[in-house]
Amino acid sequence: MSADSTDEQLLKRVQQGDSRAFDLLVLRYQHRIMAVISRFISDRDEVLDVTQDTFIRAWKAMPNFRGDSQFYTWVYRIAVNTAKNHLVAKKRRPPGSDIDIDDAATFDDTDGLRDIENPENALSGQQMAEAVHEAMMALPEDLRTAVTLREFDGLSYEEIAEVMDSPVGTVRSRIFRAREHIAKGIAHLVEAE
Amino acid sequence: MSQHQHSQHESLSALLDGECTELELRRLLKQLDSDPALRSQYDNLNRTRAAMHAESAAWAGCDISLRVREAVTAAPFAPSLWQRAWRPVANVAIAASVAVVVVMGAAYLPGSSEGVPETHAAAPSFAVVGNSGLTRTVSTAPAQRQAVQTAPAAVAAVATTADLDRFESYVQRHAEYASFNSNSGLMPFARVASFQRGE
Repeated sequence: MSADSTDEQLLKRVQQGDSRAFDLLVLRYQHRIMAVISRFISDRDEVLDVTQDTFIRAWKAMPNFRGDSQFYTWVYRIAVNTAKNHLVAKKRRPPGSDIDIDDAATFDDTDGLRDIENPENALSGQQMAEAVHEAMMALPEDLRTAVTLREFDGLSYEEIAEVMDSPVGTVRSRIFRAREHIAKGIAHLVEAE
Repeated sequence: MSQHQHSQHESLSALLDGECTELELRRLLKQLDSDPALRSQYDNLNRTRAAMHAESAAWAGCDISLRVREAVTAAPFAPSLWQRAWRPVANVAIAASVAVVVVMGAAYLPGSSEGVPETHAAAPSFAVVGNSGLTRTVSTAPAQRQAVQTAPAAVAAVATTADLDRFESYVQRHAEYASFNSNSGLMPFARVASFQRGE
């Protein structure tokens, strides 16, 4: 089972008009989409507006989503188009070439777009990275291993269970507890706007 | 935190990783409406994940989900007209295709009707009711269908037993001649029309 299978489960419900399932997808992908849009638009408030617009467009277009691509890929395209349209509407020139989807959400991006990176974002990103690192270091060994294998190595629960020689239920519990610890450690930086 | 809440939150964490069962997901979606804290917990888990990855760390403190949720709730969508119109047609088409495949598959199964293709052995019959109330069942073998297809209109006018006998002999003779003049003349009588008198 993978994150994509969760998306599929949620999408089935969304296509039947279940807005709660769509809400979970928004919660899941909003930060990645914000990061993508911030490659085009530097103003933080505008990024949030365009992100909101992206998801609303996605909701409206949902009956036409045939599942040929992954949900994130599909929303990514909507986000890029929405961001470009926003720039055109604001009489600003959108970037000449699209960003590769694999690179879109990372900080090491094409030079052409680096100049619109918001220093404020970069600073808060750095602070966040430090806080996460500290919280990770403070975790008990078993929790840190479980969450690292999951988050950074992308292993499934079953694979982690095999690596750690523990039952899947224990792995699941460790990952959850690790996340809770980290959430507490970064709570001062993560405040809803 | 109660055991129940802990279990729910753990399920949310599993959902984040795509490791949540269908049953868990159904239960969570149901509870999301009545328990705002559950949604907030899921939001928190997502923020934590975003913070752990450099890609979106700078945006982990931002949330537009509530605004989207309001807009989405205000504008529910129904499946498109195209989807609504074609779904039943598509279902019927699929069912019909399956039926055709099953019938054709069964017809050409080896060994059916002692080597004679099923289509010949189980050729469809139709009943013709004349003015006198006599009913005939006409067996229609494939090579003979064209000849027999013209029969209903002609037979409908036949009223007496003598006419029926005459018609029967016509059809039998026609079947014989047809078999001599066709490639499948090996079993001419297998395709001869048979008649049953109605009561």
